[in-house]
Amino acid sequence: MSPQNKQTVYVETTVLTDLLLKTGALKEQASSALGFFEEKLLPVYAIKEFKAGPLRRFVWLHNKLVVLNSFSATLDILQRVSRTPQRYLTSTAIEALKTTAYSIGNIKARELVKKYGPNATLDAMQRDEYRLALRMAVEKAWKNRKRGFRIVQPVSCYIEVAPQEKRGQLSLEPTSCGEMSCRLWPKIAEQPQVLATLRAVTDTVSNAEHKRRSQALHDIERKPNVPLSRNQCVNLGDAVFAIFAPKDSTILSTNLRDLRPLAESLGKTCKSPSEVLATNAGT
Amino acid sequence: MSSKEMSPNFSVSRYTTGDKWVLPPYSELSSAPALSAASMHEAGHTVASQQLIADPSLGTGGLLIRAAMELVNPVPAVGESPLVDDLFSQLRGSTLSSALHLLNEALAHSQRAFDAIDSDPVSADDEMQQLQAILPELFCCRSIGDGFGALVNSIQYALVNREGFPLTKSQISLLLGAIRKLREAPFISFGDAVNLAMTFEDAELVIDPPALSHLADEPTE
Repeated sequence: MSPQNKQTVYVETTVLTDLLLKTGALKEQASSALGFFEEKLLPVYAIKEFKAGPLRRFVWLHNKLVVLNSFSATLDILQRVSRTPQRYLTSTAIEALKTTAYSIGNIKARELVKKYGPNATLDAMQRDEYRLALRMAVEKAWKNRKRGFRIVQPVSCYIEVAPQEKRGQLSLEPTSCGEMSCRLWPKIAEQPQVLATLRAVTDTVSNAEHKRRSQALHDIERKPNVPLSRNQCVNLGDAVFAIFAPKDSTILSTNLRDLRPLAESLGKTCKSPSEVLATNAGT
Repeated sequence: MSSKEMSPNFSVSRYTTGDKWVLPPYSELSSAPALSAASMHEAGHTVASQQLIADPSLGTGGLLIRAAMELVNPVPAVGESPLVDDLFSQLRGSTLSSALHLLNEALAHSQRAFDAIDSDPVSADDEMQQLQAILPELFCCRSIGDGFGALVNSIQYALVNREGFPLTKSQISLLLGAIRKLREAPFISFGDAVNLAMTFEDAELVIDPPALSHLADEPTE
């Protein structure tokens, strides 16, 4: 597939996640859709969100397996937490974790335990199967994060540090900005009309994410000379993509429900990978 | 080096024939086996003592193994390599020797699959199925290191995720190369294992458990 024209794509966190952490149709869609654009821009803010969100869930589960040292105990905790409002994983994810690549018969399993000891029990095998796969996925994603992209809008207040292994556990620190003041804020604060437009759109949707975003936008409007806090930077979320995407670019996201109204209010285009593929079908 | 120059800590193993000795540089720190140049030449290896590299981060045992590994040229593609097997089994005990034995089998299957793929694709696929049957036991040897375990895990998922669909020649070639690498260097670092596994993905092999795809989804509030 070759680019049809000189269009530019501006990649948002959800598509980066599909490319780096998903397998199958979603990954293929994202990858194929990117093929229709000549210039592929990835803002550092997307990497920051990716690290603090999806990649963090991978690391959290990895470390849970290390700490509990048991697959069944980890699964038990996941199921118990899933029944509370404080959920970390979807129920589909928890169900999917019950599968193993090492399906062997009972007799063979007993033989292996006899020969190799506790490391060969089903629980230990599954624990390490996922522990190692999670660490592999995290390191792979980090190495691949900039592959094929032109990185734009580096923010000096956020330092990219590769995942580290300490005492068997993975660490993603830092996932938020450092001590110096926000470098995005001056560019956002100097556009009061854009802030007002985005807040008007945000206020029409009633969910927790939009409420936090609306509050952050309101705070910047009200006090344009006060630098953004770390939380405000995080809460702006999709608004950052809407603000910083080049006018002639297409924002590529699977989160159309939240991002498209924001982008369109500023006269920008937001499409999902499947929409890009449908538009270009037959070309 | 004459026997007089050897350290008193040095334990002469079965490699006692020949008049020229090549010692790993850390023999004096532990009871390392010595390798006679003659026996190494007989086994088909080339002495390359100038390649020895010290790496203090590996500890004495690691240094010794690393030194010994770099002392000889890579293990031949397929088949037994008594020198390396014996050396490793003395140093690390039964898990490592089991792993090396299983890797020999795995290497033989994948090599035969590669050789047969053009003329007899059914046999090639069957060889890969037999390779797959070895992997659970090979995964039991993962105490060798996380790099070893992660690479075996990636090979297993590369095969499982094919859901029975035969591998292409280039995919077999990649797995063959990875198994050969494990055979030569079972103490592979995690970073090197990641780099190798990433080449599988470039050949359209999926090495992640399907469950991880769901893990990336954010739970709704």
